[in-house]
Amino acid sequence: MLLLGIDTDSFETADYIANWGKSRGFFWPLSTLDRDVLVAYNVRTQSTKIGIDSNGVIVLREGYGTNSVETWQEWLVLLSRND
Amino acid sequence: MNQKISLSYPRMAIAMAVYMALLLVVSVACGTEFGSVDSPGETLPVTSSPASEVPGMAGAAQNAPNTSVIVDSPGTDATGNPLEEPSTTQTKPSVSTTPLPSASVPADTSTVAPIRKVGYNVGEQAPDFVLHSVTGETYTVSEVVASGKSVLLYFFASW
Repeated sequence: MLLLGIDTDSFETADYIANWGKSRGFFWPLSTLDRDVLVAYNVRTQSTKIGIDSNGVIVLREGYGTNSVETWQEWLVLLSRND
Repeated sequence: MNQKISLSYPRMAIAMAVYMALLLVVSVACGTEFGSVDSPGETLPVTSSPASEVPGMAGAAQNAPNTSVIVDSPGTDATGNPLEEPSTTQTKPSVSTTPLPSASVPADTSTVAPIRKVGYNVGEQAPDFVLHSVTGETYTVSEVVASGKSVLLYFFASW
């Protein structure tokens, strides 16, 4: 499974995001805001989570909120089931 | 008094005759000029014919150039208010509702994989995109999925 972090704040630069992720120990890829992706996936709030299975089908979509550890574990199990 | 009236009567008759002649000339001149534009006999058959329902009105405009302005652009009245569209324009089929012509040979659907709708809701095919990370890597969602991996998109902000 690949976790991709996409920023939703247009004022945050690539250097800022890189240092912010490094300071928090994030090892997954992060990118600056991409308006086309936000429009294509109809992202209106942060932190939206969208899971895509190995068939390219959206199997998970959650909106606002940080969510609990248990919820994240459920999502990761769901997405990594067919990997 | 009577003599004065009787003397002026022929002059009045001549003046009336000249006036009527001028009116006749003017009316004939105006009639021949406007008749080719506003004649109902030319506009009505075109706007009500089946060819006028073809999108673009190209054929109708070529057959009767003066009528294309009436149908496609109603314009405004004397007070500047827009005129109503002719009834024929309301029956024009829109592009989104026009069905594509069907193939003469039915397709063999036994070997075609089912096509899912591309969208952003659960159950829909995810839109593909290329993402450039802040550390320089490039990720294409379709390639990641094709390699057998799933993807979790996390739309975040640092605050």
